[in-house]
Amino acid sequence: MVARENSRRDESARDVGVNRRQFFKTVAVLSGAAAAGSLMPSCMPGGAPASKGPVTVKFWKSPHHEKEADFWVPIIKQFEDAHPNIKIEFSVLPWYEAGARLTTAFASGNPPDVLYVVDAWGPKYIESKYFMDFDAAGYSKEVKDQFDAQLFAKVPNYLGKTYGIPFLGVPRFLYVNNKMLKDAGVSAPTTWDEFTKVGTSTTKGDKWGYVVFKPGYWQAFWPWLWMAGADIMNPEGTKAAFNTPEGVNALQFFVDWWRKYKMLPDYGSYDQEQAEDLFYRQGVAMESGHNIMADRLPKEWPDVDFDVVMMPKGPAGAFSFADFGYVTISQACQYKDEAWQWVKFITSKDGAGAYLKNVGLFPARPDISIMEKNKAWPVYVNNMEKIRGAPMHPHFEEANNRMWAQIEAAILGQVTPKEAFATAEGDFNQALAG
Amino acid sequence: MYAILKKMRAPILSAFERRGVKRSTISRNLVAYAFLAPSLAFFVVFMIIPVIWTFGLSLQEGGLLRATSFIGLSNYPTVIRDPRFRIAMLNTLLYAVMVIPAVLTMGLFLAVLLRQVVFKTFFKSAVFFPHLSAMAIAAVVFSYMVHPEFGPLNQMLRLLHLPAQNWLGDPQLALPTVALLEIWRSLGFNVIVYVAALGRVPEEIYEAGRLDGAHGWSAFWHITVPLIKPVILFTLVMATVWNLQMFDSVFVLTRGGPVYSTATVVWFLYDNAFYYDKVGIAATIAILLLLVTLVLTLIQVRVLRSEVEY
Repeated sequence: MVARENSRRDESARDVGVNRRQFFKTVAVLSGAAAAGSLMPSCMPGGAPASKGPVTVKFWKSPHHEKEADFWVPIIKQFEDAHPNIKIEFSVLPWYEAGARLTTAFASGNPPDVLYVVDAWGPKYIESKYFMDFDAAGYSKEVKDQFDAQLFAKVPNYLGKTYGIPFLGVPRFLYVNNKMLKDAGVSAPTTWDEFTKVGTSTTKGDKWGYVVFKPGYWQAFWPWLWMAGADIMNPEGTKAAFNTPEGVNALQFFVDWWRKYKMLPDYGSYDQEQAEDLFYRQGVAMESGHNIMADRLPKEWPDVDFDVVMMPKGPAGAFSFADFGYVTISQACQYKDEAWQWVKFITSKDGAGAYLKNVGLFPARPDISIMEKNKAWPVYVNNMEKIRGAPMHPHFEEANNRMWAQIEAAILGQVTPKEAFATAEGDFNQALAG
Repeated sequence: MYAILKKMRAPILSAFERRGVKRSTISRNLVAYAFLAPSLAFFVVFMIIPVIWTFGLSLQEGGLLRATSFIGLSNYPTVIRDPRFRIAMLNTLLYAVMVIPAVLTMGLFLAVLLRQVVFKTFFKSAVFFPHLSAMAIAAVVFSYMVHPEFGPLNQMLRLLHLPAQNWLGDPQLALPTVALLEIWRSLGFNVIVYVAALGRVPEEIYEAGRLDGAHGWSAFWHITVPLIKPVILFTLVMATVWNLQMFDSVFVLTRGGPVYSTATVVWFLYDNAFYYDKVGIAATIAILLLLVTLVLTLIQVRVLRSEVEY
């Protein structure tokens, strides 16, 4: 039996055995095939629009909810039922790697066809002509009238051209815990002095007066800079505008929350989710929050007696921060008309409404009302003109990170606010220049 | 292709024959090289070409999204003069100094201990487990452990009537805290490598040592350490290379802050490449890091090189 097995193995070896000539011949054939294979995609009309059958539109969006993918299923189905020639391939783009993923996708020539963009992300892609010009294509004029003119002219706009359709907003206003304020004998602050008074009088034991969260602390600081009468950069977008007496006052006020009044938890200790949770658990009296909190509080934390108010007025007035997101089409998209059908649908009253009702975020369209019975809703709607956004500049991210490192140094007591802004100004301008 | 190989073969054979090498030896070597070719091709395509490519990119200005243009070596003085790069390089070296000795000594200590306990497999698995966990998940869990208010680390300090610390928010503590995570995570790899190395040391050598009076610490220092020196060198070189590339825990836990106190070279590289769209600067940082790694590795190999046969 063993002998027969060995004999079979020998035969088999002879069958597959090759002499040197055959070996080189095989290598040559395989190498040729591999070379031909590697050349094929560039020779073939790969990805060219099919003459028949549905086309696929790739859609990427970063999540605003843990069930992001689930929320898009019925919306995509509704669209595909109405447009049998278009298939939507949806991918959730994680926030933490969105920048790197988008950069590599565009640089490698394999971007999504349609993508959701936070307004401040846009300029560096637009400068390199990766987003489609919606004005030139005639798309923007089709839907422009359905939006607030000011919002439409600002959010998807860069240097006077429209590069997408507004989708949602994340405006922040001041949330106050009425019980904590009442227990401390104070009411919701309307001025900066009242703000620190409320903050200090509600800070006791493990309860805090106010909380700001990471990452993106700068969004918590900017309103105070604006309210002081300073700005982040000049209107031309050429240099820093924060290093003024007003700007330094704003930073001094901000730094004092930690260093003088000690009304905030340790710097760097809370992320956004933890900070919101702290408010829900009544561990903090005030927090600058977006409207998801107002949506969640009555449903999930009915015991929390809260109010939403405008930011306390500073020397130059009261302002708050919001980032907005829009939906755009890649310049490289091969099915622009089909992609436009999808963009038009998801930014419509039905499409955007279906999504935003699920996630509870602020709609970019005035005809969508997602939480009209919520007491916070009028505060959001009536104060939208006091909202400002991040500056639009292709190098703003680097400039802002450099600025923030100096602000951190001031918060941690390594430098004074004046020194921080003096150093930050040079760093910021250098980054803006590219 | 075959014709080319056939043409190339004849002059190679005759050249070697002129130098007195037997024809059969040459043929055998050619076949050996042919079989080595896939690995060599892999090495060239994925190791050599990227380094050359990166060097080429370091001579460019521009980004992945923008057009690039040749600027010679200008990026090198720009990067070296940048205080953020110097801080990042210093942090990276400090981080390596904190992590490497800790994982090597603790790894060896635990490996020796593991040889003497019961349920070896269970303990080996337990020690190795953190190495298998995804860094993002490990970092999130770790951030809860060191949270200033509800983290168990500060709870323990409070129980001992010691002041709670802001582990990741204090510039003095942030880097050691991130290093702690990396020690916890990479210890298992070193333990497993050392356990395998210790298992290969012949028992007869210890017996001979015992006859000469070598026991306990003396046996460990004079027998074990010299015999596993090649493995120590391997783990040292690997730990150096890995830790100089420190990125993921910084990315998840601190984003280089506060005030650049945890900024590492690869974090700085990543930001420049993917957020600031400065691929030339990023490539320059990569080449400088490669040079530092190469120098440190060569020193380690030269100092610790030994030939051990047993």
